Amino acid sequence: MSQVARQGRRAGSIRSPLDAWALLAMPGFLFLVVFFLVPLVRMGLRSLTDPSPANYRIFLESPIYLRVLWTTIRTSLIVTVVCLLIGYPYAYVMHHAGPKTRAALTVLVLVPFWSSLLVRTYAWTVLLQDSGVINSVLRDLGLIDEPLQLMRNTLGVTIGMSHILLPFMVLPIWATMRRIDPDLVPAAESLGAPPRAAFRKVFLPLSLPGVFAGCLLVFVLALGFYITPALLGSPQNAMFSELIVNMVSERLRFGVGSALAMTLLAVTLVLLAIGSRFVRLGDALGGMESR
Amino acid sequence: MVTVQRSEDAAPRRIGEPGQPGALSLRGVSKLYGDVVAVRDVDLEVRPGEFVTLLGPSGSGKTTTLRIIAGFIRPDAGTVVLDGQDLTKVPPHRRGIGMVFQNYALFPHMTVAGNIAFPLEMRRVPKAQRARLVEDALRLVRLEGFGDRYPRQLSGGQQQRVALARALVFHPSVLLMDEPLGALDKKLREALQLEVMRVAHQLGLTVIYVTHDQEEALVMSDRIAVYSHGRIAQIGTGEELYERPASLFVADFIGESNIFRGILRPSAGVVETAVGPLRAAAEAWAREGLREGGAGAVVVRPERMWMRAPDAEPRPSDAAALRGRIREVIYLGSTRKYVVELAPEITAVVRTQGPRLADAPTGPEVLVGWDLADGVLVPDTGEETAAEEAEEAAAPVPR
Repeated sequence: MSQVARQGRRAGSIRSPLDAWALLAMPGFLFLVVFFLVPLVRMGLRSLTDPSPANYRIFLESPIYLRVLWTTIRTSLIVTVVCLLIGYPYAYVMHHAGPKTRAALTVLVLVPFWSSLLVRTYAWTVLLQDSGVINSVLRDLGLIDEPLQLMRNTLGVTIGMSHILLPFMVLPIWATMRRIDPDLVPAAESLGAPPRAAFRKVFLPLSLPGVFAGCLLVFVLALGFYITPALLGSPQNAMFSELIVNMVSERLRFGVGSALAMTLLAVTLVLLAIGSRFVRLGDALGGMESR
Repeated sequence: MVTVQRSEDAAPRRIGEPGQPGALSLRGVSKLYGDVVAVRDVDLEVRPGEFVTLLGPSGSGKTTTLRIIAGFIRPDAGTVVLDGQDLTKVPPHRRGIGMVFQNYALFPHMTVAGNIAFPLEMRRVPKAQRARLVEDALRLVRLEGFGDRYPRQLSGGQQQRVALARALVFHPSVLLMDEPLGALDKKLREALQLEVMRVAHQLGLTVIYVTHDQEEALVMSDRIAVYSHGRIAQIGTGEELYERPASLFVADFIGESNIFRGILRPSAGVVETAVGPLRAAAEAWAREGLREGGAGAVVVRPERMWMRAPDAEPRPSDAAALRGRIREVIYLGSTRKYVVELAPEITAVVRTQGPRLADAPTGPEVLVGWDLADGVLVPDTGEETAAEEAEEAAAPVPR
């Protein structure tokens, strides 16, 4: 029987890698080429030719562009840290919970995936604005006299973005935790490690690949955010994508807009390249697959 | 059955010597998961230095018992006592009991030396001393020079030895092993069985060993506790279990058996069965649960059965002489197994020392039977035999 199986496998491996299965990938491939790769190349060309590469000098002309780039990176870092601080304990509880609790926690973390980003962001404004739900309740309770500044600042942007990006932190971490041999922590305890030491010495180090993957995903996605910072932030903490929109749709300077977009892409790729030294990108994406 | 020469050990074995640590006792230990009984009312007294195996089909409670001893599971009732100290409420990390897991549970992000040093680190042993103890432990399991490797770079057998070294480096008096050799192939398993015994005997360790492999249990253990449905069905030496099984379950689980079920007639000294009345020796009746008119069975090991020509003269020592027809002959090298049909749906298995051609039965018609001394009587409480239970357990069981 194994003889047959082995022959079958050998016959399979002789087949050319470009077999009928490759055809199945063609629609997706063509879609990406036509609607993503071609526009991207044209945008790159436009940034150099509309009217000239001098488009990129905009960074020298006004300090605001570099400042916004820095704000964008800083905001993304803050959101990443907040997601990690919330997401790791969340994934840990999910990992150790019974089947019912785990199902409930999974649904809760996935709700952001299933509802419109725009709707959720508006919902946050209802909660956070000066006359919003939170401030009204606090005032009615007599805890505050003046409304707290909960949005139109970094705090509001961080709250909104963290809420949306949390699943991208929780799911890779949880996937990594699930791959840890469940006997390892008991083994550490039987060898004399108190529960906290068993976590610190064994469980935590083995869950780090998921942490790196989650951080990278959240950070890279955060760099390109537009709607949430536009609604919950203020001009003082505008994100880079807001500058691009402004340049294209209000000032109609498509060449400069292209240059800004290419710059953001380049920065993202550089940060990804640095990040990929610590985490295999396949892990970040592969970690998303669920049971 | 395999017997092992223990006289070759360098040091004489120590069991139950005065002052020797490692006396373990379980008293009335029970654990339920919802309505499901994992372990019920288990009593177990283990002497220091003794090698006791918990043997049973999967889901019979042996691993739960081991995890209760380790402290990972808190029993609903009963106590675990080690050398006079009640451990029942002591967390696992303060029990000082070594444990080897089924899949080794080596820390993949640490080297072999790092793994073995882990329990020393937890006990704040100074670094210099740690290195020396790790070396000693590696030497004990014959893995000198492997300290810098990672677990994934080792074979299954080597990983198992590292797990053993790690569980022993802090000098526990009790070692728990949960089917530690299950994942290895037969040859390697046998080599490691001897290795584990050598180490355990050398260190005077008390070992509680879990397996579902009865041959492994017979090779390694001083005593075997046979588990069935969360209870210890019988505990004793391998020989006791094999020669004098206390129940149908044990008779069926340890080794191969011919089981003739019927009605007990102690007054007549026979068991009435479908193949006729079977005699039993007077000693065989001296056992609890064998009532007049009660259900019982005669258990006979295949190698204790004899086979004669159909016209042979009966002998006074015969417990029975049953006429049958050979249905199958299975050649097993050193022995030969005959499957003999005694009645429709009733067969007996006879194992003979591969007879020379002259002794082989000449026709399909034979007389089979056994001597009075070789039949064991057990009460039939209607419980399942091991084979029936194994079939039931083939349905997926939570680990």
